[in-house]
Amino acid sequence: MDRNAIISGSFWLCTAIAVLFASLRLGLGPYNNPGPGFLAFWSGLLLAGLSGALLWSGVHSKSKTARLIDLWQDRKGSIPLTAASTLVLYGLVLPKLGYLAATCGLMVILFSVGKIKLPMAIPGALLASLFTFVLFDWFLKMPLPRGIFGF
Amino acid sequence: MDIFINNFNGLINGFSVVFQPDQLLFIFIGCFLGTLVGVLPGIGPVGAISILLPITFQMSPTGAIVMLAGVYYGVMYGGSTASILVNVPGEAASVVTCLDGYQMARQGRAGPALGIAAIGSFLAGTVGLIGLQLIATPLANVALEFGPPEYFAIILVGFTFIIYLTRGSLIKAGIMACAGLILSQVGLDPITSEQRMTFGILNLFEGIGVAPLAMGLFGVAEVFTNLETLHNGEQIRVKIRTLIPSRWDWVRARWAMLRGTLVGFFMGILPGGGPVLSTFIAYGLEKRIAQNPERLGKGAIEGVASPEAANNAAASTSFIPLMTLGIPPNVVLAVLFGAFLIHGITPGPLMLKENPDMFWGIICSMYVGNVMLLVLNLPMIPLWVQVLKIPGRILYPLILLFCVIGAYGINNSVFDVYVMIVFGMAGYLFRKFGYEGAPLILAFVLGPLFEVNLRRSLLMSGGSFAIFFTHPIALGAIIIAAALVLLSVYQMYRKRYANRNQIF
Repeated sequence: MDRNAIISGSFWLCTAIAVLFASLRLGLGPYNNPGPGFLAFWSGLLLAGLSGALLWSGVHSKSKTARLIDLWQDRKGSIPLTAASTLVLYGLVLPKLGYLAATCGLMVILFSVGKIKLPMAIPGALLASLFTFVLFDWFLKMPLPRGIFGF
Repeated sequence: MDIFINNFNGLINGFSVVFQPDQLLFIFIGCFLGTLVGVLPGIGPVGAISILLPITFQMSPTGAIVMLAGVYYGVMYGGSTASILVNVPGEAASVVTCLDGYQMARQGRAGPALGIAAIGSFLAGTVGLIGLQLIATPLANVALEFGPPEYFAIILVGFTFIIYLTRGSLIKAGIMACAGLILSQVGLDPITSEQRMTFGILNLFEGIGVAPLAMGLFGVAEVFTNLETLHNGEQIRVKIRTLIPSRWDWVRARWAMLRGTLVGFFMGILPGGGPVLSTFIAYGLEKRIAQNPERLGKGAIEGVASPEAANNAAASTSFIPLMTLGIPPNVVLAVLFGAFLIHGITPGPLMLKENPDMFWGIICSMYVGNVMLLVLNLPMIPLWVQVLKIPGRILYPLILLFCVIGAYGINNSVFDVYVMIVFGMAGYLFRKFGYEGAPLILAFVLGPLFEVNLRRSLLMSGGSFAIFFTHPIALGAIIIAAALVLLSVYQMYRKRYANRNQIF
């Protein structure tokens, strides 16, 4: 049994069912005037069939990489998770704190995740934030969010 | 004869566009950044073009596309440098170059390997461009006769090619293509303008943006994957004495270069083909026809010349289906297709008539870019060697920062940053579970065209699917698609019986 195939197959099957319901609500329309849900319905149906085939193969597989944890063997799976969480947090604080402060914080965390010591990470983060602010906001006229500090 | 006269006039027009100081600067920036991205392992042409896309908003449409195209073929040049010097492919189309290129470097022949890679890339890229220029005009004229059934059928062939040429599981590739197709339908219905799967979120009314999706799926996911195995960059101790290949090298490489060029030329045109696949086919061909195949993989110059020629020829010819039919044949061109649309240009058969300056400008910019890359890249190899020494723990956070800025800059909206993060995590998990991102993004880009042409065809025929079988071009395309599906199923079953438990 390949649990990874079963997990991903189940996810896609649930997605396919949700898409099928959504497409029925949108309306399939007649063949001579297909409605907004027409293609979504058929692609959802195909997705359901393919995910069913994946589930079937997962159940009948004798694969050795059968556990979810095997995917992260000898790897630091927590680092991408930390980076992603930091990015989500960054997205939340960016409009409030403004580009410079929020980006500086983001870069300090990202550099620290890469085991760069704080005395190096802080000036590095400051430099990266300032450089990108000058490049994008001043030179390329991309209005970066200002926040409560005004920069 | 008319074709040659039109081509000549077009080239004159194109070069007059390109030989403006600002356009030359954009070509140079594109080629430089492309080479840089190609040299740096981790971020490929898709991520790079997606990240740079918002920067081009201030530019003229021609300048923007010329620069982004420069990034694309610049990556093909740069990718070989990292492959040869440190055995780390800068991007997927340079994986094969590692096999013989790195062995040559270990034997103290890094210079001739880099030299033949650059010269082969230049020659093949130029041949590809001549083909692009000769084929594009007649094909665009033929494509003007295409109606919705023809377009639907050709896109269907594209979908089946994507799945047929996938390197991993057929089922997983199909799932990704379906997911891309479903995601492409988020937003307002193209015919009735009804809301579809928007959950009432205003930012989704215009659909999911191709740039944040591509940046997440390729750029951010790549960084997340690399963050798991942070390494401090390889210390390079390669001495380069001369970049000029010897006479004996030339004798061995010339036919390999030609074969690579031909393979790349045709693989670039095929939907689902492109530079990556062409390198594998070109290398396989060299192994098959070599008098001493055991030399390949041990530092044979043919093993560098052929794949490098193939990926550059394919990079040039992949513009043919995009600019004449409006169908992106591979994932990089799919993102570039998005860039065209953002700048108000619809690639396709009408592009030559409506935007001849841009059409010929792009072709001519690639001629100029190829020369720039050849002249600038060889002297800049010491700089690229220094770039390769940047540790991943510094590089990857900076790439993430550029991704964030790139996503934000599209609409000056944090929502796009969220979209990028969501698809970054999704892309990371897809890689873990063995799913390829390419079928998803191609289906996502082709999805709206596919849907509109399917629905219009059915409207035209009063609901009869026979319309796809009564139009000769559509019928031909559907037969090809059916043959590809049958061939894929046959290969899957053959593999299944050969290796019972490893089909999926």
